[in-house]
Amino acid sequence: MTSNKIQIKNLFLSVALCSAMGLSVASCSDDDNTVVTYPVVIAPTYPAELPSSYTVESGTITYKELNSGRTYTFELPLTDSDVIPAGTYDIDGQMEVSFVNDEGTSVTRTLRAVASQQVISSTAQSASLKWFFYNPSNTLVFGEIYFAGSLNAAGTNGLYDTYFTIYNNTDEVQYADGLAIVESKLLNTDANVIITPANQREANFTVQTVYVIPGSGQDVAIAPGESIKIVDQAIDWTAQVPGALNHTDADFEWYDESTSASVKDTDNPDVPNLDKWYSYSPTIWIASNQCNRSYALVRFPEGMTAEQYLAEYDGTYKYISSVTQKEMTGTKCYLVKYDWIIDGVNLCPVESWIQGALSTSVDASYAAISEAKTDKNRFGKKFVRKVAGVSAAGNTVLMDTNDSAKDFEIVSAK
Amino acid sequence: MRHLQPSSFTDLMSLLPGGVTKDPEMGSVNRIDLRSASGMTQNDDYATAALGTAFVVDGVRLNTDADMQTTPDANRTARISTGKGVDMRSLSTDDIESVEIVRGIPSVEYGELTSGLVNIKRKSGAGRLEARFKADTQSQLFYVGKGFDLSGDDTWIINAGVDYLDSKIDPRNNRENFKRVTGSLRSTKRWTGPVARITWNSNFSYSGMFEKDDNDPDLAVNNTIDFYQNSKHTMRWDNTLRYVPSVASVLQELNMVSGLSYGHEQLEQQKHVASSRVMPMPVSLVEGDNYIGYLPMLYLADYRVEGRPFTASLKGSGRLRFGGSFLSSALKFGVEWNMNKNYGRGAVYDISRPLTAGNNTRPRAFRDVPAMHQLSAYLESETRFYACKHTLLLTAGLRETQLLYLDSRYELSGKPYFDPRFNLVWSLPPAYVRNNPLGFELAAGAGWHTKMPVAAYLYPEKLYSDFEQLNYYHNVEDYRVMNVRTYIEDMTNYRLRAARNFKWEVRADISYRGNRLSVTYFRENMTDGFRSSGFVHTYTYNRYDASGFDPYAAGRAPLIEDLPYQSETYLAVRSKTTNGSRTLKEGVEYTLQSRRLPVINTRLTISGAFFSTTNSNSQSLWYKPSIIANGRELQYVGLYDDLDGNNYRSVNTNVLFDTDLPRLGLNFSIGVQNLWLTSRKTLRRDGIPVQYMDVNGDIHPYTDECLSDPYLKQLVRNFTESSFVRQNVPTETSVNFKATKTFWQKRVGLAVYVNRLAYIAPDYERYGITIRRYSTPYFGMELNLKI
Repeated sequence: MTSNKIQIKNLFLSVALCSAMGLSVASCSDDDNTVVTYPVVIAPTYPAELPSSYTVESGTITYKELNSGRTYTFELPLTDSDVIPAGTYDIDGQMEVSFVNDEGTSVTRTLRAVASQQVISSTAQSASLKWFFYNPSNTLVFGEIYFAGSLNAAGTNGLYDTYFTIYNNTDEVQYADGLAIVESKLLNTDANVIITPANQREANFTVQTVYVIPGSGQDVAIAPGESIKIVDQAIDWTAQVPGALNHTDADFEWYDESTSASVKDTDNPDVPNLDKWYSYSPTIWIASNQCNRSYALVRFPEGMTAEQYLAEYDGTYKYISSVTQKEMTGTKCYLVKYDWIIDGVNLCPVESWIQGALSTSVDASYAAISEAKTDKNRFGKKFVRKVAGVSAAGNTVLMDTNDSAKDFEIVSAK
Repeated sequence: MRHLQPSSFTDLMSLLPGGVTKDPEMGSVNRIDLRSASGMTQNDDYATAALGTAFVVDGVRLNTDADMQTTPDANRTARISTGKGVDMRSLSTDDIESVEIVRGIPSVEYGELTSGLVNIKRKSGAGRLEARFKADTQSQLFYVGKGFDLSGDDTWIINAGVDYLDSKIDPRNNRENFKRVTGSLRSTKRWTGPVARITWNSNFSYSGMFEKDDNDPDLAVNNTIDFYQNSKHTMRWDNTLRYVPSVASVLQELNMVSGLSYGHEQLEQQKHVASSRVMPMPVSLVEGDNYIGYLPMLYLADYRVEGRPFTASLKGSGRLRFGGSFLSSALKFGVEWNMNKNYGRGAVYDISRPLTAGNNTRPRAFRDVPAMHQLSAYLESETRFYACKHTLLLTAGLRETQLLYLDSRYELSGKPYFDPRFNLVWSLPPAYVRNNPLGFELAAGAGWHTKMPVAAYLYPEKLYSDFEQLNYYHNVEDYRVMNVRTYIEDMTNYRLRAARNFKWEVRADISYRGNRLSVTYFRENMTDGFRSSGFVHTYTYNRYDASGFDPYAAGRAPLIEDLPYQSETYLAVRSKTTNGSRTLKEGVEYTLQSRRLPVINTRLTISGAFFSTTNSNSQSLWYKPSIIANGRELQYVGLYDDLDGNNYRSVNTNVLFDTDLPRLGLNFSIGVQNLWLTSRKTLRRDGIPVQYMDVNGDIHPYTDECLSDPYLKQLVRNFTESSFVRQNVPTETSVNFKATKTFWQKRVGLAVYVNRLAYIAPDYERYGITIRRYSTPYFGMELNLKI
């Protein structure tokens, strides 16, 4: 069992836990005879960059049974005594490996793997795990995401007083010039099967909007521990609807010039606008109000221009619709390489979650604003990255384990 | 017809070959679609077939050309009948004596049609008071009518009838309903003199349609009620004067028919609009540079459309007859004038409080639209040849139609349309089989048919476009300003022509001992139906740069005169009504009717059809993808010559056993409807433009190099090959039951019907998914009284 792995910070809690543990052991012992266990078997795949010879320094694999909520943690490498009962498991693994890289130097890197809903039964005991290089030392990260918006004047729907922040999670000044903010084309709620290889979730990130922070290299400085706020409409919303937010202090707004009669945007002269490289929408871009898409911060390769990107990274793809099983075409989208992504997050309400639009190497899970997709309680709530600690230089370090369920919490936007 | 127990005229359509019994759908316009495949998706771009089916009641055409009701609410467009012809929901079936539905080639006496003719004759004659009460799952219907013989000798008869229908679109929801009230007072007076018999019919009719739906305030957040109400009152007064000589002469008859109708239409909609963002809102009424304001975050939108369509028609016609021993000939001739005009105030609303934020039109009074006048004349000869027991009946006619007083800018102005139409029926001498005659008849017909555009097509609303020139939403309210350049464009397509349809058909009939088999092949190809198609428009405006302006120093908001600017050219695809809709209908209709079999008194009718219908554009389409690439909309528009459309097919057979037992006063029928196959195939498109237009209006060929240009490549439309595979829906069988029982010298009748008493539809697979079909029966009953 796993009690030795739990970090106990509070004596009272530890007493409570121990007594609970004692009870469960007692009840387990009563029906020990009926519990059938199976050896832990994994079928791993490794990233192509990992050479064939490497050494596992340390590592653990955690199995969480979804019905009972029990977790079983095993040290790597696995031994014959590692067994688990039948069940449906979410699996989370992490290990340190050392190897000699192409330059001939010995390095130690972290690998992670996640798998969801793996069934362990008398007929299936092997869980497939796809390991990826895990590098949580991002420089700029999403600090807060507020896409649900505040309640509108009638109390029927969300306002677009939406925004997000980009936080400097390092001890040095970072520059956001040229940083792109992209929204996924794919919904995290659909089970469509992508046919086109380039659009597979593990190959590239398929996006439908590309907004870029203007600047020529060192115009948009973010000090350590500081963030910039990017809003839809840089407006003092409190003057429009009570309880909404004031965005006149925003660092940028995404202003969408529209030739449509139906929708026009506002442009605050005191708040600079994002550059708009691509948008599927001819009018305004509205970030997913149900919070069920994925977002990423993208640093394009040096010298990439909008025209070059538009000409070379067209993301039109084919897929099989999960509803009709018919082959369909996905249009109005572009591809983003994972090498370019410096931070990404899957958002989705719990009940709607199927799969992330981002590769598990960027986000192993997802952050949820609500259980149900149309839950009105989501209005007025935002995703906020948890605090991991304080850096040596005294800056707040936000949690960035590429696992949004663990990294974000939901708090009131006010 | 009574045995059908109909609620509206729509229910009669199941009697046609290829027709399928449907449950009433009172929540949307019921448009007629003759000889069309089952399972078609209705699309307003292919409504000409419905618009081009003429409904004639007692000699007067129901003219809907002046209807202009409209709503900007996209959820309610299915309830708007403008441009879709006669809404069959509005027609009650009580008081109808007979209906003739001409799907083939109608006589040239009837015009303003492309696709068919529905000729309705109402009852005339004295009789008992008749009452009918019908209830089914969705609705209740009540009718009462009587014929009075005022003169006592049948020379003056008055018929009166009133009908009321109350229908709930969903029986669980009493907040959405459709009501209809119709009534008529019809007088027939005859004078019989030594020289001639004169008949004067004068009919006054009223028809009211009331649609309503609103939300349940208990389910709304603020207990508010948003509602939609659409009412139509139509009054008609039709007169017919007929002169028939008593003595045999060349002149057979002379007729004078007049029709007047006036509609009082009111569409009202109220909605609480809560905006989700601060929205600039152009309400400028003048062209040029305009400063505009912003929409409030919460307001009540009140929208109202007042239509007052008025129509008048006058028709004079006659019939001459010439005889001979092996040839007889009749000549029909006539002249018809009709006009229509809408005297309504049109859309009446506060443009700063619109129903939907996207409002690119402004209120306009319908009465500002000129009246439409139409004059037509026809001549038709009906010649019968007799030779060696063969009879040949040739009907040949020509109809001329033109619009009068139309502005000379219209291509239609002063343009006459000629519709030649022929019908030939060849009756062969009977062959004798077991001493019973076996009759053969062959028939063929061909002809042109013309429907003029309706007022809403000839006189569309003006289009208002606003382009942002200065967008300055300053933190200080006093310094906020927004300037747009407004374009007001006349969206009239002066090149609009009439829709024309060429149809031909051949028919063979065999009859033997009261049994009859009839098979018809038809084909019609209408290539210039009405639809909206794109036109490329170019706009120029300035983009003002206010970055150098300091409102605090100036103490005011910037004005465009102060600011430097860059000129911008913008290309847009705008919709106008064109003749770009193609409908190709092809198929075979068959009917086999047995005589009533003795002993069991049952007649068997087998009817059905194979229909193939193709809807597509007939002109190349302009298209601009709606994306933003590198900060702006595309500066190109593509021209695509592929076909955007579908082919639909259906095969069906209806088998009807109808048994009449007069001694028991019992009549019942069992109908087995087999829809053997319905299918749809999307026409193949490659999505590559043939040409493209740049902002200067220059047209270039679209070459392979364009595919690697970051902007031009966006013009490629991507389609999946599997979208073009024919999708078949296999057989579906339903059994319908109807019964009528009469009591007390047929004074009381009880009737019941069940649609889909049994329903057999096997599961089928599509893309590996099993599709199950199920259906619930629909039933109703009625009580008929004759007192």
